[in-house]
Amino acid sequence: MSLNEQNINVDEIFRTYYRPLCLYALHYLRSVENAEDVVQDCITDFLERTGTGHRVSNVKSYLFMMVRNRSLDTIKEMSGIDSSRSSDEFEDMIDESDYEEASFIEARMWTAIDSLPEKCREVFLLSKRDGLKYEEIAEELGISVNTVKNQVSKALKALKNGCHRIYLFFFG
Amino acid sequence: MGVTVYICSSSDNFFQNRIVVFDFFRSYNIIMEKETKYLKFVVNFYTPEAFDTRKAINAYKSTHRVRLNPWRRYAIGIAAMVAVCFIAGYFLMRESHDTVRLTAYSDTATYTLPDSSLVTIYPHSSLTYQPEQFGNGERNVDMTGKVMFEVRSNPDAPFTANTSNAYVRVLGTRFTVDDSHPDSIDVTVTSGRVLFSAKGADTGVTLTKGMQAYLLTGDSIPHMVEHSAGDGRPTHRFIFDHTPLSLVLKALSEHFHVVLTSPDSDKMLTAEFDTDNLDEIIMIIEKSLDVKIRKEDES
Repeated sequence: MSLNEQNINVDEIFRTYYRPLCLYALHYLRSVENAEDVVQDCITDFLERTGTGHRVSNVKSYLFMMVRNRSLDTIKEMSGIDSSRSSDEFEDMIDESDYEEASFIEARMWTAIDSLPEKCREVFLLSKRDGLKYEEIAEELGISVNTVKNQVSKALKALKNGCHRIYLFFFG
Repeated sequence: MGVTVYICSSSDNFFQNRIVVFDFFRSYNIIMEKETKYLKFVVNFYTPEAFDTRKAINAYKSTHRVRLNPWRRYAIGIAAMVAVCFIAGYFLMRESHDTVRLTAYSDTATYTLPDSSLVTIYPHSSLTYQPEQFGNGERNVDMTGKVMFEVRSNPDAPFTANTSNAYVRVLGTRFTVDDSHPDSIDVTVTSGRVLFSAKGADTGVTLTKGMQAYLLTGDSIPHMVEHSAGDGRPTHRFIFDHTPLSLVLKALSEHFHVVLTSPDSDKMLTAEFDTDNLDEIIMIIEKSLDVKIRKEDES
């Protein structure tokens, strides 16, 4: 996508790249707030630069490069303050070269979780994020174990449907 | 899905297909593995209302003036123009209801109307017109009291002077309308030709140079007053019977369009004058009453 005429649609840039960039930054920063700040700063800088005639031949690569550099700078700045990062469980799970590719799929998953019904999302997160057993969730929320099971399977189904396009992309 | 297609392909390429199928499942597993990792990662960090694109856009727009697409700029420009037209139209329409009011208090005053007609407004008289409509096919003025008109000729826009219960329509002439009497309206034509009608009446009397008519309140047709045409002004006979000098001078001032004053204005005069020669009248009054009369132009 060449933007030499600077026909930049601010909304389109945000809608296409904001969430993937946030997840991309999240891989480096491990903090939702910091990721949001870095991405907001990067997109703002990018839009200001292109607004003053700066030419960008590949918007996607440019934005991801900006976010990566700024994320690494942020890590450097924070390294003295936050040392918990080194023991992160996700450190070795996803290779850095996959971050960019992963971010688009993850963004879609994030959106799918976002659009779950509130109760369903709560049960799903207690189960998958916090690692609670169905019985524990049932007890905490005052619902039956069956309901918990139903909600979790409903959430997984919704996530699968939400990611349908990704499967099509790879298998279609 | 692709998997079915590969399995059902021709048997002579079975071996090759097996490799393809094997590769496919291997990559499928890799992808599924990755997906599981991705989902785990997302679930671990998921925070409701975080990474909100709409919020991010609003945050950006609140600090930056948004560049608009050219067509949107055009659309907004056109919308702005339409709005301006509406607003301008509104104010023009409003202005059309505005009126210009010309008045004279203690002294006669002469004004020029937009069509360069002259109006001489006598004391305690007034004239109003609507500037936006004046001259658009017609020239309408409303008046009270006594006003002398010197109408610029314009056959396309008849000039109409309206009083409370009469109207005078002309094309271009010089005439005086006197509405200051409580029960009649006097019209005197100095030059040209006018139609003098009661309000609501289709016909009236046509007055030409030197003619005068009056309309009594309640009458439907004006009455003519015959005069011999003199120097273009109607010939009047002023009859004063024990009239205070102040009133005499006021009447003469009004008639001759001058301002006559005298320090002895409380003296009484009984006399009869033709109005042809003002200087002669002044001389006669000064001699008979032993007073001094000062004559000034209206302006």
